Amino acid sequence: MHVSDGMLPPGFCAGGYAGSAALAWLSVTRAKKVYGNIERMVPRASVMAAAFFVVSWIHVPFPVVSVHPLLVGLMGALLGWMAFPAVMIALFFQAVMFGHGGFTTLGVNSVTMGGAALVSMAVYRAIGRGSGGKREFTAGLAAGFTGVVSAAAATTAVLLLGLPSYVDPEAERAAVSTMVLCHVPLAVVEGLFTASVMKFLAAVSPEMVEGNG
Amino acid sequence: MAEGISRKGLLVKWDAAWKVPSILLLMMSMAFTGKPEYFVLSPFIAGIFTVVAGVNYARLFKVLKAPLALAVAMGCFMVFFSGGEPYSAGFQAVSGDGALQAAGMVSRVFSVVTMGFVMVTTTPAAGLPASMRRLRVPDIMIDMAMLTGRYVMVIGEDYRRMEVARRLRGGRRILSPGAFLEVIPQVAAGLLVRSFERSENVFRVMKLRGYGASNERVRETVGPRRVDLMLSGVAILLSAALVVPELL
Repeated sequence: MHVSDGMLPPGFCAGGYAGSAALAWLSVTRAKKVYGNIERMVPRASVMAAAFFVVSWIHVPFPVVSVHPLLVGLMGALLGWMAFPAVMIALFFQAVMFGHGGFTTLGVNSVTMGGAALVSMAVYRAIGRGSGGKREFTAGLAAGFTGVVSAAAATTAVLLLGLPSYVDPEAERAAVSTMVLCHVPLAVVEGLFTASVMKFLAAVSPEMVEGNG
Repeated sequence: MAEGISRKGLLVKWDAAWKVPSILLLMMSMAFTGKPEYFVLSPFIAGIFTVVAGVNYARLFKVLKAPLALAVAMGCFMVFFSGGEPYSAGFQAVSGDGALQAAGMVSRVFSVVTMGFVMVTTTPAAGLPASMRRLRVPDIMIDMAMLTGRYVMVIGEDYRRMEVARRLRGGRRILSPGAFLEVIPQVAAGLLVRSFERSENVFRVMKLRGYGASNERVRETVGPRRVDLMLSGVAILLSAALVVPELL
């Protein structure tokens, strides 16, 4: 799902940095308004980002291959507006520690995956709000599923838009559809994973779930 | 900084506040190249940097594997689905322009990923926060990055301990997909609960140390040294050599 260095023209990379800076500014500004005490959110988002990073080391057995959870849905549901900077920092560490993604494409990857986390946040809030924790499973399922599908669609679109203009548009459209369809089973698994985690957290540590989603 | 890299190496001495923008500029220039003659020049420049840095080639190969595989897959797509003059390759017509673009993509991915690897392996972590401040990265992002870096290993150790405990209680090492969805979310959620509690303690400690008392941060105003100017100059000249002929 990470776009690596060298895959995109510099204009895209610069646009990605501009877009991620704008989204990071929007996220922090909104977080200040929503949570009031942003200082409290800094250690919370950072330590949770580290935990998400560790959880993404867990490999899901999937027929033929093994994949790791993306967790953008879970991050959106738990961290709310702070999910975007947390995703950005997690991507930076993935590039530094494992060479996943890249430095020139860090902005683009942040926009596609951090944007997906914000979409998941919106979905989670729309379904889970006012349910008093009764709809955690459904909201988590929808957030996890939407996170993967939107990240896959955005990444594929960016990759194909970055290709030279004389690539057959029909083939481009077919490739986008195929890539998104390939990610649907993964999105279902991630949705179930997110839903189970959210249900567990709602039962064990409700203060984590309340106020963020 | 990676193990095995000499602390006295030329690229290690290069201040991160100068090195990061210079190498990023060079990486962007490499990503900009499209002429066939640069398909060799860019990897050659990246190769010289790896030799000067003295990087671990086994680790570099490991980092290059996935991006190169993706570049080759994208290249195949371009070969078969691009316009331009078609050539017959057995049962399928392929595009000459597409093949050229595919070769360019593989060359760019190799060069840019290699330069990123050189940048990371020759930058000591200790001076990174100060360099990031000098680069005008917002304080909130620096604080978050430092805290995340500090706790990744701690939480990773927590996870390993939880996994060992689970297996000692009779849990299987390899789980079926069904069992996976039953067991692992609980492990992950347990880890998140611990991290949440830890973050509350971290916040209290940060407050006691004066975090948030003042927005003023110390920004070192160290001027560039000769080595910084020289190496940044080399990187800028190389970038210009790659970009200017492309624009003309």
